[in-house]
Amino acid sequence: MRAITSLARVVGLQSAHLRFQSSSLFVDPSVVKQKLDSLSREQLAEFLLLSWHPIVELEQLTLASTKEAKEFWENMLSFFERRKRLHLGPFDNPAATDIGELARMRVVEEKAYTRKMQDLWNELKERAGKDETVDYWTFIKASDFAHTVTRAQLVSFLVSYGYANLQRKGNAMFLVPNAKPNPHLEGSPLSLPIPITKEALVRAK
Amino acid sequence: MLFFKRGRVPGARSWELKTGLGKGYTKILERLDENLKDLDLEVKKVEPQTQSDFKHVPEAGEEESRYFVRLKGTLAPKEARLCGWRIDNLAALAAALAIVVSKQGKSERKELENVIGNKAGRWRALTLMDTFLRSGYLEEDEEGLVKLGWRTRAELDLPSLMTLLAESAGPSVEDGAPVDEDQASMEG
Repeated sequence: MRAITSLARVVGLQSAHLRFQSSSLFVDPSVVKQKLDSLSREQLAEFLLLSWHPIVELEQLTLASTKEAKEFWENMLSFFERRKRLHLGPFDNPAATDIGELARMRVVEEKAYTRKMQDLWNELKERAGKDETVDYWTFIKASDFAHTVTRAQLVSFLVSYGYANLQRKGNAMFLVPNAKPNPHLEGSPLSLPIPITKEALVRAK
Repeated sequence: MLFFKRGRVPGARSWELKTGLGKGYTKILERLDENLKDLDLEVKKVEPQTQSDFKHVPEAGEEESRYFVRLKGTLAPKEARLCGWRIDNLAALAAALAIVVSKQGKSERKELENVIGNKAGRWRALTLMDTFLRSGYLEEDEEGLVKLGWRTRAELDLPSLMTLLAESAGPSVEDGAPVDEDQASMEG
């Protein structure tokens, strides 16, 4: 009996398989994959749109759902009651904050990036003075490593956007501020990676 | 009953319509279908699980059949965008459905994510799969296999999709290149 049931099951599955193969839905999975790889996103989207009839759905408030919502609202415990269940301890009242504090928390930047670049460019021009050059390492060195890296990054943008030039004399590097930004319209002529090492920072005045 | 969404799934079941309209509800639906033609809409009956497992159980599912009102024609890409659909998402859905159909209605989630990933980027593939499952285009069964969902059965003309796919032009090198994350996320 079990053998006959199993046999019937096999025949049933074969029948389902044959029905599927004979339908227009049958395409070999490997062929489908190949087709999908070869088609662009636009083509695939177009095929879907040609076969797609989206359902019309309208959402509305009904009297029953409004009653249910009202009942839920009325039976709901207050915020403080619900909070008690979580054992979160005393409740801190919300307090106001300001941009300065948010900047200290690093939620927002105190100054926009372009403004920072502008300030650094002015500082560079000031420090360059009559010599018109400043030692690269002396200029980027700050009170701590994080600030040094930030200044180095800003300087890299100053040079890329033509606010300053970087000159190499032997092992030393000098920054020369431009009076007016002189952007390289055809892109930067060269790229110069500068590793920020401890030795270089120690050598800087 | 058909137009307004009352629960998670839109439309109305046969027994709901029977209760509301009486035994002759099918005649009323036929009339409604006729009247909706002018608005380029139609009434669509979806039998439970017919497309997913390719088994027909007509009597058992009749009471549970669901009726929807859907667009009779199709949308242009511009109109689809206005409905909030991105080209990436449409392409990903087409790819996912094609794979599931070619695998006789069931496919592994990982495989679908890989195929979608080639079109929309790896990270987007994960979120798109969740979106398709949530919106009912795909369903995940107890074994973790992905099959066609109720919305696909209601909205998609799968034979047409598969025919278009089968008849599409052969591979071209530039189209086959995988998409990087930035490119995929730029599409508005």
